[in-house]
Amino acid sequence: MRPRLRLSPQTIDVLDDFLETPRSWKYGYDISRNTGLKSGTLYPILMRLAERELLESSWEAAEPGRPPRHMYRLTPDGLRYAREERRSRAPRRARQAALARG
Amino acid sequence: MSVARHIAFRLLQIIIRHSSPESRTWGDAMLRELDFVEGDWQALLWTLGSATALARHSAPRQLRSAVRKRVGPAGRLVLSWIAENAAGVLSGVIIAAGVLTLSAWGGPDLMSTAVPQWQAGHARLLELLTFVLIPESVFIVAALALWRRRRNIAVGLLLSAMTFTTHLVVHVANHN
Repeated sequence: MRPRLRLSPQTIDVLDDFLETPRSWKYGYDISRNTGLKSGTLYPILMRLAERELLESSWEAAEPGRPPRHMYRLTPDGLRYAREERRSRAPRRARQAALARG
Repeated sequence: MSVARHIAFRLLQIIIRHSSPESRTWGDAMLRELDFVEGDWQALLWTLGSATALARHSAPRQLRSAVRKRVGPAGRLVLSWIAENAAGVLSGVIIAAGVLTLSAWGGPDLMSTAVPQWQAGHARLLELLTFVLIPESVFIVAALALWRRRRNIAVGLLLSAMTFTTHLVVHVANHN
C-alpha cells in the first residue's frame, strides 16, 4: 500500500491547479506561477505526488536546438484522488464562504 | 545571459551533478524551467529553491546507497532485518522500561503494605525483589510467552533484561 499523502494547503493548491485543466500537461514554472509557490515548495510536492503514482511526467518533444521541458499531469488515480479531496473539502469551503459573507 | 542568471544556471548544474541518479531527472527539469523564469533575481531564487528541493530528495537516497555499498551483503541483511523489526524490538524495550519503572516506584510501597514487617528488617531484600527479581522475572516470562506470536517484542524484552542484568553485575562488582 502506498503511504498516505500529507495534504498541506500548498498540495491542495497544486491539485486544484491540475484540476483546472485535468488532461493537459503543465510545466513546472507555470504551476509555480498559477499557485504562487516557489520552486523549493512546489517540486517536493510534485515529487511526492509522482512517488505515489498520482502524477505522471513526460519530456516535451522539443524543436531542434531547444532543450526539452518536463511536463506533468495527474494520472487517472491522481485525478480521482484530487476530485475526492475537493469534494470532501466542499462543505468546509461553503461554511468558510458563508462565514466570510457574515 | 546576465551574471545572476549565469550563476543560477551553474549552481544548479553543480548540484545536479552531485545528486543521486534518481534525483537527476528532477534536477534537469528544474534547470530547464530556469530559461523561462522571468527576471534574473527570480531565476536565482528559483535556483536556490530548486537546490533545496533537490538536496532534500537526493540526500537520503545517497545515504542509503552509501550504506549499502559499505556494509556488504551480510550487513545488508542485518540492516534490512533491523528496518523490518525495529518497531517490534523497540516496543519490547519500551514495555520493559515501563515494567521496571512501575516495579521500582510502586513495588516497595506495595510490598511494605502487603508484608509490613519486611519494611524494617528486610530493606535490602525488598530492594532486590522490586528492583531486580520482579522485573527480571516479568521480562523472561513475558518474552517466553510472546516468543511464538510476537518474537520482535520478545527480543526487545530479552535485550532489556540482558542490558539491565549487565548493568546490575557491573554495579554490584564496583560497589562490593
